[in-house]
Amino acid sequence: MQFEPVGLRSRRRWLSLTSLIDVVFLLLIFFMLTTSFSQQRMLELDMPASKGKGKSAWQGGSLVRVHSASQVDFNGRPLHLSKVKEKTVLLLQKRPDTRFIVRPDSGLPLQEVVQVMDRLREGGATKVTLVR
Amino acid sequence: MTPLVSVIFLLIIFFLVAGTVRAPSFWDIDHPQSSSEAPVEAMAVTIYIDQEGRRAVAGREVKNRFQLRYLLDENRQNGEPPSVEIHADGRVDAHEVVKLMEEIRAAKVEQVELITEVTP
Repeated sequence: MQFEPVGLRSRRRWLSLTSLIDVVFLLLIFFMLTTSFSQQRMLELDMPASKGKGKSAWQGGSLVRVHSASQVDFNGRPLHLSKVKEKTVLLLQKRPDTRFIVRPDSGLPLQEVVQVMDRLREGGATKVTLVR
Repeated sequence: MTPLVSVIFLLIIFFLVAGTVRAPSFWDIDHPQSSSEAPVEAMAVTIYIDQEGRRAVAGREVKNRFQLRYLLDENRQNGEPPSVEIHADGRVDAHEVVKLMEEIRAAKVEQVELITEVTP
């Protein structure tokens, strides 16, 4: 058996550049197709137990009816969307831990309901649930 | 040829760093925009609702509530109901989402999150 001197043998072409580029192109295409630049966040949805567990979770909650993106009924009183936040702050000062029950009119797109839920959350509401 | 390779490497690094790799969703969904800042937590079950209110779980359309209930029961962990994330289209009728929530609640699920998108 004959061993070749290391220095001489390693002078050969180390790796074909073309195949390297092939692989790198594949990687590039993979990342281009799978990457998304949208930044996702979440809204926690409160799930009150429907029955049992002592008094109903729905009791003492504030009902927020959503008629459109800007027209909201807060506990039966019409309120503009811009006032929802301060109303929420006031309500939470009086009764912290209030559950907010959001009830959208039928046919209302989710986006407009999310806008109202945003205002509630900005006012400090943590328990927000959806009913119909 | 070497500069070409360097440019492509740069592009790869850009896509790696700037974006997040995400499994493609069953339908093309425009999430509702929200000012919420809570980062997404991965949940056990992911439910998609498209613009017309059709639902999908794990790449397959869910036709009725019995099928949904079966999927939720099947994903129980140590007897506990699974956590659920809802990917809903911003244009879907909000009642469709509420209906879905009612069906999820019937399976005793307690942790539910609605995925939103940061307003540009």
